[in-house]
Amino acid sequence: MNKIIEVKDLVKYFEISPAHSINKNYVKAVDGVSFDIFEGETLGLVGESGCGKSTIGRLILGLTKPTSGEIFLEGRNINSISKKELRKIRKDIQVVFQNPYSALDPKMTIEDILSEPLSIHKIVYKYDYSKEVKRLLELVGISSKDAKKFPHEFSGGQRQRICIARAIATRPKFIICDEPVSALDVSVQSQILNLLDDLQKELNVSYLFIAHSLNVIRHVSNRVAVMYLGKIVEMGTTEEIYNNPLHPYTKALFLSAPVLNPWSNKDREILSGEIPSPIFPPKGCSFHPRCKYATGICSEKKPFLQTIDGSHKISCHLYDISDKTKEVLT
Amino acid sequence: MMDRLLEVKDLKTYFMIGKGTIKAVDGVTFSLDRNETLAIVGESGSGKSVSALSIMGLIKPPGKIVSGEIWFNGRNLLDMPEKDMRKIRGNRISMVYQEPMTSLNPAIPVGEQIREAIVIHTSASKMASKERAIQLMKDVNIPEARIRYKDLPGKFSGGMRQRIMIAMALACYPDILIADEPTTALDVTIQAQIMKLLRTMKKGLNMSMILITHDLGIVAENADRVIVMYCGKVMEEAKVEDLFRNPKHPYTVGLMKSIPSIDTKVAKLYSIPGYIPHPSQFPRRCRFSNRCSKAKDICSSKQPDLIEVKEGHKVRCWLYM
Amino acid sequence: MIRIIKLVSKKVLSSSFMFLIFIYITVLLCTIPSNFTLDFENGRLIPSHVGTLIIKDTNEKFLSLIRFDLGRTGTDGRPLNYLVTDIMKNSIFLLSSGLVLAIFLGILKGIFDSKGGRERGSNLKVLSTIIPISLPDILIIALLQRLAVFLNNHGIEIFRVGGGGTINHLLLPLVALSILPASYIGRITSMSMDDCYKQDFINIAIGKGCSNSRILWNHVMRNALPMIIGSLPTITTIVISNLLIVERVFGYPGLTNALVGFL
Repeated sequence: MNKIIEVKDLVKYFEISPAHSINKNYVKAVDGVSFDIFEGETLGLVGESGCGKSTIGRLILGLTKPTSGEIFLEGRNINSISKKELRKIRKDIQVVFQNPYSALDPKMTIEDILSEPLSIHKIVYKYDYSKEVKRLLELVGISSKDAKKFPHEFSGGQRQRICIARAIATRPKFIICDEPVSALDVSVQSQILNLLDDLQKELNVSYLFIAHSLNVIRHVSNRVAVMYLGKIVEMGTTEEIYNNPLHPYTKALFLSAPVLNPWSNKDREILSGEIPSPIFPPKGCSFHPRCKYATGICSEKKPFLQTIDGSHKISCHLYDISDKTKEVLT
Repeated sequence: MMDRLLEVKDLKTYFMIGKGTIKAVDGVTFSLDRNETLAIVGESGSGKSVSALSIMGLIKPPGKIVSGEIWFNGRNLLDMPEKDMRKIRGNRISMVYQEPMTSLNPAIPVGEQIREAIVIHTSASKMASKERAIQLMKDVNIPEARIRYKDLPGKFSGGMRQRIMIAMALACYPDILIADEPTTALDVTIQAQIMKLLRTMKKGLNMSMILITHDLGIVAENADRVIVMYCGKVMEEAKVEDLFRNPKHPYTVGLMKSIPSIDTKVAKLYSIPGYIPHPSQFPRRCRFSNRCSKAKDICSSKQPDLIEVKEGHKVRCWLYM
Repeated sequence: MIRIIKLVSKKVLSSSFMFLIFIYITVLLCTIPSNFTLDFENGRLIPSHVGTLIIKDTNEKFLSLIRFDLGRTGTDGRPLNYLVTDIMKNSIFLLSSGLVLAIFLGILKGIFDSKGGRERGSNLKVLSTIIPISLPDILIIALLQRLAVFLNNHGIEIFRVGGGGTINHLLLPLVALSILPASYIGRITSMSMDDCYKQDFINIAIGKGCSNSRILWNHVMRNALPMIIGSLPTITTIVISNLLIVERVFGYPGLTNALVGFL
């Protein structure tokens, strides 16, 4: 299987200088992230605010330049190629955003919106545009009779379908889905998730699926990466992560998710404390102030991602097998 | 007849927009007992938020409460003059809102905003009300409450701001707390903290709570009774255990099936076919019939009534009439 | 509170410093003789007058200014200090009371105009505030003068012109000066108040049980006031330029009149 996307040691710091101080502060949005995405698979990226998942999406899209690190699309480093080449590559990486209400130009008809990528990347001949638009709309379940309508005439779920149609218009190899269903109702959510699933099988496209709800991630992903404050703390296949979460933060995420079961134990242990500011992350492991298993080394040394078992990787001193023997706490 | 704390009878709140009328709440009846948590579940357009705003009397033009009764403490809130309503708002019935980021006045210190709720409704002195505000901040787990009393809202995170809102709402120890999607805008781990806080405060203050949400998980963990709303009407009402064990209305069943499970993965998610009818064009037939897999002929011509099929379990569906 | 005092004093100090530098440069420019030239000879710049002498002259004049000795008139040698002590005092008095009245009236008008959280406002109210803004200043002042004449003809002698000293003399220029800025301030107040009423936190305040007046003063004005204060520098400049017209038309013994030579 080909590697479609490879991300190596990606770092993005945003500089902020408050008005009344000379020294600069950095928002460490992404702090050393590496992963691969293969052809036809979905990598789920789960985390809360400030973890950097949206920034990673923007970095891969080339909307911002990384502070350091490399991003490879099918082996080509997208930061070292010319602008002209980058524009050509843009057709292989597409995006679906969270807010279907602001993602479509309200002054353009659906046909215009979908014809635009076709004309920029010369996907089909000019006189084939309306035929192709019709085909795309049918793929996402919108009637082609509505092609001349404006975005405000559609509901939220339908607008998201149009955004998906726009994303697949360039026949991309890779689509970044940045919280595509978070702003939608539950009944619409399931329709969109099914649509994304069908499209993946039909077009053999890979997804980076960014979300904060664990049940959605479970449904769509082949592999999952859990992020906290700019770093990946645990990564593995969906079964590995969901059947056997190891990192204390991952465990806390699972415990926080409300259970659809009125008879379950309501007073489970809840993670205390606030998410620290990405400008001043804690010393050592960024999770240690909230971690109930924290030991001395956790506040001193930063852990790094190590393979535990097969493809299951974790970044935590509890599972550090570098020098000493494995210490696994239940 | 048990003494109910709050009784909403056939509430109708319409919005007159342009040529059409949006029947946001179209004949809703429910009640709330002491010390109970009632969850109102629905998706966008179901009318759940508008019901809460109607109870609080916060409906502004072009919206209007067209008919109905809301009985609280022996009085109909809809007949009350505004100045009496103001004595109840924030005092006996309080509300926590969805968006913590924009719900606080950015120019006033948070402690003062909490204190305002106390000052309006009691004749406490400046010192006493300030002390009570600081105590409330401590009760909702804001660290270093006394120092942070004079901080502006901008210095607090979303979760912290929501706690301040909760402190503000509970300042006068209300009888009813209405929580309108209190955790939707927050992170998952913070959501769990806030819901636990609400549960604790409710127990400690012997309060009743109306919890408005679209998340069935939150309903399962916090509610005693549930009503499911769709297109401005109550479709099902039951105790929470009955609802999850034996959901009767096809919409409730469809909703529960649509949620991806965190424990198992299915090949294809169930999704309710079709679309919600436009709120200004509600049909005469059962409003769910165009999407219902079990629709019969009568469903496409007349709307069913809400009837009690089992003790405490009501459904609005021709399947059960 | 202390923060505000520190901020304001910092601003005042820096403004006064800038003011002194500005005065010095002005004096310097005035002291340079009109036949000053710079010649370029043999690769060197040669000024026609000695630089150090000019600087010495400037310093003398500047220091005498600081000592508040403004020199003497060209014609009959009278000391010019009276310009500041009597005349400028009049102008500043007129200016500041005009601004204070304008702010007071303007904010009241703005509150009266504002929609107060309701959907639709009264177009008439807004029109009444916009009209003074759109009419030329001179027209308003001329209209006021006409009104004064009319009142005088009918025996009501509250207005007096052509001189200073009594309140009656102050009245007409004051009204004339403050109508325009009051309308501006009224417009800004009502617009920022309306903006404020649309925000979420107003709903929350109503939900707490706040009365309408409490919302107005504690919540809305707290947020609208910074905008109003922010517009004051612009309005002050407009008022200063109107001062010229007002003093001329009503014969008020103020600084602009003296500068133009009518006293």
